[in-house]
Amino acid sequence: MIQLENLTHTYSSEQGKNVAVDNISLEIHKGEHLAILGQNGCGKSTLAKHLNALLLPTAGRVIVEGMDTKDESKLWQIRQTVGMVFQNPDNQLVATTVEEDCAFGVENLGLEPKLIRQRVDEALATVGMSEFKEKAPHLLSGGQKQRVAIAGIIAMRPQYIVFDEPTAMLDPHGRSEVIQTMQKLNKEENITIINITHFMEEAVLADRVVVMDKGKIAFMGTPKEVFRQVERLKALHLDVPVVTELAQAIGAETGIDGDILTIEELVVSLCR
Amino acid sequence: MPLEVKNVEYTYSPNTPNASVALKGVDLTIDEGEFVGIIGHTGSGKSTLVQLLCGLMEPSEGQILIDGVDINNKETPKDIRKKLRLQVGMVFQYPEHQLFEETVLKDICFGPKNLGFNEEEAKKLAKDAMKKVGLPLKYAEESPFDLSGGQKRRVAIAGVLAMKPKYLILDEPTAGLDPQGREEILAQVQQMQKELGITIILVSHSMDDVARFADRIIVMNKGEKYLEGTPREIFAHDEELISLGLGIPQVTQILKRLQKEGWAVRTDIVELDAAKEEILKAWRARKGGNNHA
Repeated sequence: MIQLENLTHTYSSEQGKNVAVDNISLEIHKGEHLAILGQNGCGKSTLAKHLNALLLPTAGRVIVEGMDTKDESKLWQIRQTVGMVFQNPDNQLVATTVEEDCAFGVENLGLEPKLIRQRVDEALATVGMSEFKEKAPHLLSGGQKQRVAIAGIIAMRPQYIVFDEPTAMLDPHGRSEVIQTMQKLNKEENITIINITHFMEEAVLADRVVVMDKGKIAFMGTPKEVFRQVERLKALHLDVPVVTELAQAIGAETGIDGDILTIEELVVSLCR
Repeated sequence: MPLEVKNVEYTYSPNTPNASVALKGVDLTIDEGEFVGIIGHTGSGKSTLVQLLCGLMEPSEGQILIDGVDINNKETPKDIRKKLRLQVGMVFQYPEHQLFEETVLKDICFGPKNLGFNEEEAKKLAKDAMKKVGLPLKYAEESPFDLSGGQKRRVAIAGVLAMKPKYLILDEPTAGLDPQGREEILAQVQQMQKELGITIILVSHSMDDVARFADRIIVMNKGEKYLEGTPREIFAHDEELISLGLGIPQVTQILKRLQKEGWAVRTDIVELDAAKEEILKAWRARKGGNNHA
């Protein structure tokens, strides 16, 4: 479990202070798939960077599996427990071949070469990139690069992976590759997923959605509970999935529910 | 006068073992005042194409014509070529990364000043551009780095608009913005087209966005122009688009699914309101039919 206890982060600059995360308390449970939504500047990326001690709270605490992120002696253990995948795949790839890139993190764990080999092979297989292992990363598509970045993280066997807008720069195909990989890691490998996104269609896949506004949690719940609140979401510069919007537009006449989230659900309700 | 692409080919690293053909046999005409969407998956050649359109690179074969004049023909006087190229403005992906000045106004003035306008003229052009992108003038003296993501992007777009291009190319202008930010930028871009007559060329990964805003869509695949037509015409090719790694707008997907279930709905619809009417019409017909039975 990751516990945020009254987490506050204030950026200080010459212009003054900016409270990016304002007294948030939240528990992230093992095995869950959590989505975090919120308009640009609402503090969600700042929050994410606290989950593996890239940033430390200016007030409050973050406890990762019992370890306080302020405890410097636990830093490497925390970073091994919680991995991060960022928006721009090009900024995350460092080596000249896919497998070397994927091995970069694991090599730093001081494992036996044989074990490193095994973990890298397994990680690349999990994200479906085994056949590219000798390719140069810069020749891959955006979605493939992002999957290599993910493989580099899962080779370190984290229990949690934080995705900070992992699909913002990808084409539709790349996006679905990354989303499927994320789902697979959660369902099959039981890795806890925290996905920060601007795409409502991605948030629908989560077990729980947290909506942030001005550094605080505005509200949270299951995707159905959250996306039912169209007005509230729009007031926060967010949106509902197109399917939900359509379902609500035809709901009055057809009597179908306003909390429909997928095309399948809509079709089934309409054909009933 | 239109922007024309005639039988254009582009090869990266020609005459080397690494030579790779990025574009081949591309013919295109973009008319003044149009809103054109360009879609294609990563590596389809769309970025190469737009870099040729704005004169950043020269085609290996073929011509790029503006107002009927080849912008790369060395026989055309240099100042004329330069003027022609300036008619095409380009806003790159994540343009806010290129902001650098102390104030918003100074940043937007950079382009016009480079073109030889004096301080006063440049400021006037910059202020006009701020209005066009919907940035309140009160931000003029602020640091661009203190603005929100959506506003920074407007500053960057204003910097290009201040040079008064007739054609504006935007590469993924909404990437990384929240839903409202996306909506605002696209609405603003549409307003520039409708009210100021600026031709818009939008490169996007979002099928929903190009479907809603573009008059005409160009689909690129493997360096060639694969399809060209209105959104309705393009998205009728759903299976082809999916096999190209693209997709179709969500409302179109819904209608296709309903049709598969035996509903009498049209599937060439890309807008939410039209889809709503279409579904309700079919729903009423079905209900009526069931009552008789």
